[in-house]
Amino acid sequence: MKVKKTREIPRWLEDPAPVGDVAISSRVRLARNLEGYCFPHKLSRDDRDSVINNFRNAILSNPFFQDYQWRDLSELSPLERLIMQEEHLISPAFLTMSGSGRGLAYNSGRTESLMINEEDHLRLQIIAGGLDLKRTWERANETDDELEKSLNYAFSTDFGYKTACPTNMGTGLRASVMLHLCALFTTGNAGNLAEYASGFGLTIRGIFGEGTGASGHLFQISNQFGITNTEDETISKLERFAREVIDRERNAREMLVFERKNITEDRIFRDLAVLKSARLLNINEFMERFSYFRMGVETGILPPMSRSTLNKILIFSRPAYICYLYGLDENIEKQDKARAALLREMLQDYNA
Amino acid sequence: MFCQKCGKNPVNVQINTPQGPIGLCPSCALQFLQTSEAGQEQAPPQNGINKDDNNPAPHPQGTPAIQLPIMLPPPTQPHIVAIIPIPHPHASMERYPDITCQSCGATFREFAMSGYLSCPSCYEAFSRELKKGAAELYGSFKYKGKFPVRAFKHLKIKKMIEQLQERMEKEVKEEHYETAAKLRDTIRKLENESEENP
Repeated sequence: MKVKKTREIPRWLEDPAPVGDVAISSRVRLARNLEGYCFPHKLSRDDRDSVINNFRNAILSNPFFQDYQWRDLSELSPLERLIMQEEHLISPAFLTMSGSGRGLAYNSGRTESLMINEEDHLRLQIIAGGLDLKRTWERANETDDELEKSLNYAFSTDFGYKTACPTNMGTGLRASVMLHLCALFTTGNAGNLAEYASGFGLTIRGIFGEGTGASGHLFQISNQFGITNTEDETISKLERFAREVIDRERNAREMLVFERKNITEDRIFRDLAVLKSARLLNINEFMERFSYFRMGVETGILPPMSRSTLNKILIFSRPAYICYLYGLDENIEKQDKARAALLREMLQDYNA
Repeated sequence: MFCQKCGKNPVNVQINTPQGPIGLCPSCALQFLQTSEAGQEQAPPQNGINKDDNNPAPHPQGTPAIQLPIMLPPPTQPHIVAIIPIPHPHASMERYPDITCQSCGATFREFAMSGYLSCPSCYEAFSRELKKGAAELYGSFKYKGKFPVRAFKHLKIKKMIEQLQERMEKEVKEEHYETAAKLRDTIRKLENESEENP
């Protein structure tokens, strides 16, 4: 099978990632609403358009956003929306909303996005590779300030930023980190993390957020509420917790490599062998095997491979990406065949 | 689903106990957590990661025979695992108060059923109920985060004044009266300015 199209991957997947052996990405989201309009779920079509115009003017007239492009949601094909969701550029909720009166703006590196008329009028999101919460929050803060120069946000001194759902009110901030917890999962120590996190006002979810499974041992840790802490407190609390979890994952990896060397090596080399020679590769099987492969590279059991190549394999193998690259439709068997072909090609010169 | 303790109010907090999960309303949940904490000699484990190597936690069932140097605290303490975002702020009320937002016409009942407010003005219309609900969920709360810089300039000055006052009190305590006097003058100037341009 031949690749028919190419696509540049989002910049955060290629940038050097701090603490990148475990931390995949850091994300900051801010929820904002305009004064004088109902929240999106109560807006008429005309009012949605009016909100869109407010934001579009604010974005297009400000040189701060010169690197951004504007897209109406209705002009994006279902496949393109799915790809953007796989890139974490738009939320799963935005994916399924009707396109009329909704839009988004994003930068050329696809690390920053502004979703208009999602659950709130504005969902601003910044994403970075690795554990980089502080800088990501600073960038979000700066972007928010620029928009506020020409927009009137709904705000109250009692409740902070007003949001459609009161669980977000306050800072409107949801900060999250995505961690690869392969060893904690293998040693059976990932299960109680969720309970532990809730004691800190944090939650742990699967790779694509609310209601998704932890495929490929990828977990997302984020804050639960917006009103109980300031932005800086939320960011440093999440960072501290993430670092603790990362330490545990590293300890668990060391344990696997030194105390269960034979079993661990066997598992990793078998997974590599399958990735290198399978003819059909289902997404779930791929995620599981790739997780061990990645851990093998990060622990030195396997020869080195750059993180940007690892990330490229991970994102290119997502279902919508596979469909796009190989010009496929919804046929799962063809997708599995293409995924296997992609892996064979990308691991062709990788010899362990 | 109704609270497993009082049987009257809707459930919106799920708590894990050694006997299994239970669903409670906010007021019973609070009571439950307080009494179970008081009944246990152990300190709650949520203050940091348990680094006490002499007292490792028991293994969850089915865990392979491998021990991590740092273990998570055992799930023996009851604690909240889920807050269900339905009619939460008002669960303790048997009937919803008859309030309507003058701006958009949404009723409080509508909000309580859906969990979503209809417009920004609903926050003022349902202010009392929202505050009560938030206090039940989060304990006492006071918003201390960011604010819109352009539209709320006076908040910025207010915040600056508060910071300067704190510094001034510190200087007085340390008997740096000259610095404190300078700070006092700056504060007065800022206060006058903010009164002139409210």
